[in-house]
Amino acid sequence: MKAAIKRVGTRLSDKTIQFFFDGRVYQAQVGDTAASALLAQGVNALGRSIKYRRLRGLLAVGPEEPNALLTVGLSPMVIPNVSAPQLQLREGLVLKSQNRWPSLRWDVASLLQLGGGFFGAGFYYKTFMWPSWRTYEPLIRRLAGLGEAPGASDATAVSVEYLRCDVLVAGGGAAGLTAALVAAQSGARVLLVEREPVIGGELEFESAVIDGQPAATWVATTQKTLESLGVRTLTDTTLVGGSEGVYIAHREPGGLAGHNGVFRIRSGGLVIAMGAIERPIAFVDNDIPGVMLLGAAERLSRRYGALTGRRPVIFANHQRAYAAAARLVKAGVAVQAVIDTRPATVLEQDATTVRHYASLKASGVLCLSQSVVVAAKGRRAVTGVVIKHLVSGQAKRLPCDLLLTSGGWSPAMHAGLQGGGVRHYAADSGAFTAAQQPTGRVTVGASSGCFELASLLTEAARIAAALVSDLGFKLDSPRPPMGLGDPAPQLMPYWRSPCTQALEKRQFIDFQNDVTVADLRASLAEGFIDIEHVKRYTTLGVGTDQGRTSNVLAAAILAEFKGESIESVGLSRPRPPYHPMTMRAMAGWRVGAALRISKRTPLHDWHVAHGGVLDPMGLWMRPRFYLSNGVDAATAAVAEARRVRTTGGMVDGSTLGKIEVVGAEAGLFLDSMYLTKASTIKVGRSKYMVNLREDGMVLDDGIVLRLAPDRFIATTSSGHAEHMLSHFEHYRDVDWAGRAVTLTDVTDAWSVIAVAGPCSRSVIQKVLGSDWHARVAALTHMDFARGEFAGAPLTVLRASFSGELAYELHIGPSAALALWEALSAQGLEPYGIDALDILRVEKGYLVSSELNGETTPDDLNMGSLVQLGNPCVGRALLNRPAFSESTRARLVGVRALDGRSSFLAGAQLTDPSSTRPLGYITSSVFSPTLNEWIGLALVARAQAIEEATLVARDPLRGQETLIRVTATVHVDPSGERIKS
Amino acid sequence: MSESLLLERALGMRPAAVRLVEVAAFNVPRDDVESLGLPSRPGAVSREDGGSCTLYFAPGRWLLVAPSPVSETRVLAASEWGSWVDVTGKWVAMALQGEAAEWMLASTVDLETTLRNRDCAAVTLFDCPSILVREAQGFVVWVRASVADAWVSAVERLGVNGPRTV
Repeated sequence: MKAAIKRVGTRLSDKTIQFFFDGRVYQAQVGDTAASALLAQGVNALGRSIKYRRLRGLLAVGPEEPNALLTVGLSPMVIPNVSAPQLQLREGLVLKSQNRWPSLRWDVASLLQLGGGFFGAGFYYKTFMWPSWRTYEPLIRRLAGLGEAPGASDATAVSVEYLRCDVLVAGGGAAGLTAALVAAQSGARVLLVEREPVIGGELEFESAVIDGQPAATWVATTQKTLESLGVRTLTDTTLVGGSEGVYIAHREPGGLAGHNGVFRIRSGGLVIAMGAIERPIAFVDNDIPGVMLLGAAERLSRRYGALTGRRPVIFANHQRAYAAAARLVKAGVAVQAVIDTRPATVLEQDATTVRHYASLKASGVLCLSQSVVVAAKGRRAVTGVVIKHLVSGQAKRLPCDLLLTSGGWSPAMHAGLQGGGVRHYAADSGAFTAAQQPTGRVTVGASSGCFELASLLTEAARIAAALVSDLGFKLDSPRPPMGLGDPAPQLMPYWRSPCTQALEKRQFIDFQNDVTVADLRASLAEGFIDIEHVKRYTTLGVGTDQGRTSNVLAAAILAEFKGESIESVGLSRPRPPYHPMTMRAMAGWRVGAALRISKRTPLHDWHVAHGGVLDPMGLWMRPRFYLSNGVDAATAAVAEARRVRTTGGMVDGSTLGKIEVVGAEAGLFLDSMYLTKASTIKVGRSKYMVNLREDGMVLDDGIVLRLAPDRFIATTSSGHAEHMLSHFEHYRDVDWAGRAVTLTDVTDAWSVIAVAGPCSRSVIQKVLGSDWHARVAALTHMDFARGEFAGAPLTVLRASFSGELAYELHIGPSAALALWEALSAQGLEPYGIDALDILRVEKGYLVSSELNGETTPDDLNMGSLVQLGNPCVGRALLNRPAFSESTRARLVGVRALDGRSSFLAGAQLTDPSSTRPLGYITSSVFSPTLNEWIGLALVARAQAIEEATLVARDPLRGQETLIRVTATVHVDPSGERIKS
Repeated sequence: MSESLLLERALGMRPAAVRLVEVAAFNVPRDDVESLGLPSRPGAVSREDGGSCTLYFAPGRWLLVAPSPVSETRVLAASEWGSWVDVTGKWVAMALQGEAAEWMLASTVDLETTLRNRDCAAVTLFDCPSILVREAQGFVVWVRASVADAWVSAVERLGVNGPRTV
């Protein structure tokens, strides 16, 4: 470990910490980022590129950084692709470089570029074609990819917060602060989000004076003013997308996912003040570690005192290069040269630059105009540059250990572009700016292509004032801050230095995806001409940086190749999120068990405590079987079902959907919802009823109870409860609006305990006591009685889903457990839904396997219900001729021909002499009553004849069974038990 | 769970002693609502002595929280314009108090919009059907009984990290 010298920077404290990078210990100061600490200690290679595995250093210091992506943490709990210049170091943080094996210095895959040269775009798909791409895919996929995906997670929820404001200001630089100030002064509620941990933006290093104060003082004063005006400021927070008044911001303190948060912000207005992104210039080997953006070097120097080289050369096309060079010289950096693409006359246009120029000359800095860097030299780090005069063509070599480039700035407004809006290209600043924006959205500062402080402040104030006025806030004569900063850039667009076509494959555009000038040329040659196609063909602008540094540069070079204007080439459309978010951040609190809520019945804890094996059924958790009855589902369910038929049992049916339908027209309403009439049910009686969909298919079935002349409870199957309620509500609101019927969901207001079996009546009589004895005895099939048990309302309904003598006890949830335990104390054992399934298949009763949305009443042998002629929903379409064709399925019972073999639901049914499917098995169970496999099936009507022989073919599960067609009711076809 | 957060499953009355009634109207004569003993402003909450209250929680929907069952006369009187349905046990009350309460709710709903000009509203909180009620101190949330455990575990999960001050 090197003993680092204490550095001084605006973000540094004196306290030192240690961290690990690629297995070695390094020192840092509190406030350091991974990039600043490593660069300060001479580590200038921070990763390798994804395709060519070229060694890469730092290019930028924001989320636009394409190269320096690190993996944080130890496998499997890793966070990949964390941007090193944004990653705030903490004690003991473990970092790893990416895209290299075995080490950053020696990478095997990088040898690929020595052998066959560079693979252009489309190389893999064109080369690995024989016998098929799939042959090579696994190997290539292993080499590909950005970082290591986490293999585990601590599953803590990410905080999500809904916020609301009148004006959302994205970006806390000079323009954003001014806009926030103006908006807040008008009385609007303002929310300010800033990507960095501190506000100020460029003012952090620009030599500026605002309202007579040094920039830093103005920022501090403004922050206080904003606070006093009630402006909420969220730092470390980036606007990542949104539109039409709802925006998403992502907070990532320290640049590290895992402690992040998401804000959903509803705002009347949006001010985009997200600055501009400096872009590189394309020249040969412009990706060697040590080639860095000028602004990045300035930030590193100012914030962290991290000087990344002693003898830099600056290469730029604007005035700012001289101001920056002067600042670096002042900070003690031996700037070697400023290479300017523009003629010397441009320099003389402002006095400040003339002054900087003179002082640089006096310090011995070589200042060359109309000159460009054509190539960087060096293997693992920059050792020099080749310079060429644009007019004379003279070339010479200059030694240096750092090359700072700046090709201008691309306004950052992507996050605001998702709600529509048009960009246009401003040739004088080499920038795409917003041309038309939807109402309520404005762009200020560098985001709007305004790069000079004085005019930027005035414009930001004017634009913000207009916005709040549009939003209905009154503002008395806003006074914009008066400022003076770096001179206007006087930029002359310059995109790439001249080189031979062969060397274009080393002029990098998109560093993260290794897209070069050669790839852009190839893309056009292959016919991928539109910018969106170029993006897909070359991968230009994809990845964590979303092409922030490369998109405009690529558009300019494509324009050169196509002979078109940059405006007509355009940019690809940005898509959210603007800045990478973890999937967990998108999930918010919906992680782990909260991913999907589950519903519990009032008896849930009892089931768990008594060996119930619970399974999700829809959202409900229901016991499939009880471990006391067998070690696995099959054994236990058979034992449970057998016991119901011989003595009795009880099942938790609380999940049953229940809708209370009330009103003078309730009966008529239900008539229109069901195949048969509810209005004819007598009070105290119930009826099995079937609903249709609008197209005539069976939707659901259930029992309807009539409590009073104007009061019914309609029960639905458990899985259909919500759907049935909304189905009813739709017709109530559309066809029955204003008529005397109301619907109330009472599913959770009633627990249901179904007691079935020969002993059911006597057990219930014992449990409910003498008051109920005669009433229970008097109940005939489908009768019910109402009263109380343990202070809760109770309805005893004689109805059966098992074919046995059975009662449904509808009980208020507060007494459900007491009733269940009282029944249990009488020796009644619980059964699960697997046993329930056996019992209902034995009786030919239907569930969703048969009510699958493809069956009509006729298919299910319920044609007799239809003949009663009730004009209900779906009734008209039942008359379609196709519904009575011989190929339509009909429900039948099935059993193995040999009385022993098994068959499973899903098996296809064919004629023994053919493989043409005639239908399929919908349900199959082993019947303990009959001691053989039985089932239900949908079979073409021509074959749906009792005693017909078919084959159940199940190739996936390797089964083929001869079966015979039977009646649907396998047990007790005469219904003696149910009536007993 | 954050100490500043108080989460209860009851309202001072024992859950078993609370009778819940949902009133649903198919046709509400505007002037008559108050004479029916119901608050007439959507989102209003009327409170009576003894812990009873009535929530106008959704269009044409009221929830009556009372210690005793609704009288037969009231039920009969309703038949002209709607219905009284006993839903005791359908909803479970949770009290959310303390400085974290608003933050917790804001993580699942736009609180300001939901309770704009209202004191109660039917709303989905943490994927659970709920009725949110603003109280003098904090909130009461009526959650559907079958998802009450899911609701509590979602709140507890957030409570592990505590509110973030930003």
